[in-house]
Amino acid sequence: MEVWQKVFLKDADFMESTHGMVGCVICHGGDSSNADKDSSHEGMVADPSDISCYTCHQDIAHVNDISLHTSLGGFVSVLEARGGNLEEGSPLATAFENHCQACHTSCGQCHVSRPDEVEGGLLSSHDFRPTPSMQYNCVACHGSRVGAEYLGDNEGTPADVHWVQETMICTDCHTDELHGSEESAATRYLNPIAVKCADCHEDIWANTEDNPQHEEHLGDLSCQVCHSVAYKNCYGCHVAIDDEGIPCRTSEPSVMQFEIGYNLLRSSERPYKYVVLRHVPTCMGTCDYYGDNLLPNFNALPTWKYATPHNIQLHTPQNESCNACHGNRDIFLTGEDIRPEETEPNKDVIVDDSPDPQ
Amino acid sequence: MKRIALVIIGVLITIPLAIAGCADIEPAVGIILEDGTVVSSCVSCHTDKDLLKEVASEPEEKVSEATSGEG
Repeated sequence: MEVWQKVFLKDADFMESTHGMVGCVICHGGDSSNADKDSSHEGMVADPSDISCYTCHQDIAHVNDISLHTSLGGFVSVLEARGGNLEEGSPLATAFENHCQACHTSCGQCHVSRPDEVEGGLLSSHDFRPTPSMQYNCVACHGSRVGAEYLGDNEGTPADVHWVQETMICTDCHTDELHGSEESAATRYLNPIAVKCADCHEDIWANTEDNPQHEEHLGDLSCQVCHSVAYKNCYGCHVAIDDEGIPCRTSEPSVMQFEIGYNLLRSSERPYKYVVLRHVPTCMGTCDYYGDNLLPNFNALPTWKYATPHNIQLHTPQNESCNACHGNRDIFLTGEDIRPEETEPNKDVIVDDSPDPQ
Repeated sequence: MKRIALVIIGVLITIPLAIAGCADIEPAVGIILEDGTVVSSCVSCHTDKDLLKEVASEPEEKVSEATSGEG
């Protein structure tokens, strides 16, 4: 996107809208009576979401403040669980500021413009879009893993059936949860209003008589265990400051894998014994550039974590027959799949006693 | 009588001045064209594609060449 395109308004129609009638300066500051570029932009705030939106939209604002999109609470909770010290001025807080904070988003970066992380730019003049663009907002940030899975961009793996058959966009499933809930959740899976397959497919739970596999496995297996295919796993992320003083990161090539393991997030909402696990990019030395042993309890959490790959299929290699899964150790996370230094944190998710053939 | 008349006149002059002085001044909302039309410079500039192409700029965001792998 060219620089001029990022701030171009196709016409002045926006000024007739409710938001437009407020006037530019009320939200953005600056001086609209001044035709000189530099002085008219003095004091201007490009993204005034944190101040302006909340004035009128308090119903959303009070939950959005604690949403993971805004607070980055997901990052914070896992770093702290691994023993990280995020107090202001600490080495890890500096690393967080340099490398993690960019993933923060705001009201405007979903409803008016593309996110800053992908260089911003108005989506469609200054229109406020109640539904963010899947392409320019959601996938712009969530493209490497979930976006690529959903759209079938990973070579050799099909796109998600919800996309192929129904062209469903992210917000067809993910609605209020994107703004967070009344509770501050440590991860998106602990958000009490997080989307679940059953929200739409309630009939599957209500009527299992026609499907012996559902009859046998519903409740024990997450939906993805039977209905997702290989997905991306990342390894060895390291962050640093390069020779020119710019934050940088490196990681190993990602790997397409499918691994079933034990569920450490078992609850009434997610009662499954077996779930699909994805390897996280973080490793023990991710922040070593900033100091030694910044995650002293790294092993407190597994590096293979609960996952919901977005490449759902009716028919998958593992649900072709009973023995496509039973006795097929290749699709279970075993000790052989674990890097030696990660044995300890993953001991509770490894399936070394995978089901016997039928 | 003359004194009372002066007081009344004084009050009549003072009140409007006081009101005018205490009233909020209408903020300038735009640039004034030759025909007297007031136009927001924000809108007039940001709807002018050619002008934007000419003057739009943004701080150069430095991306490290040392970055590799997927984020």
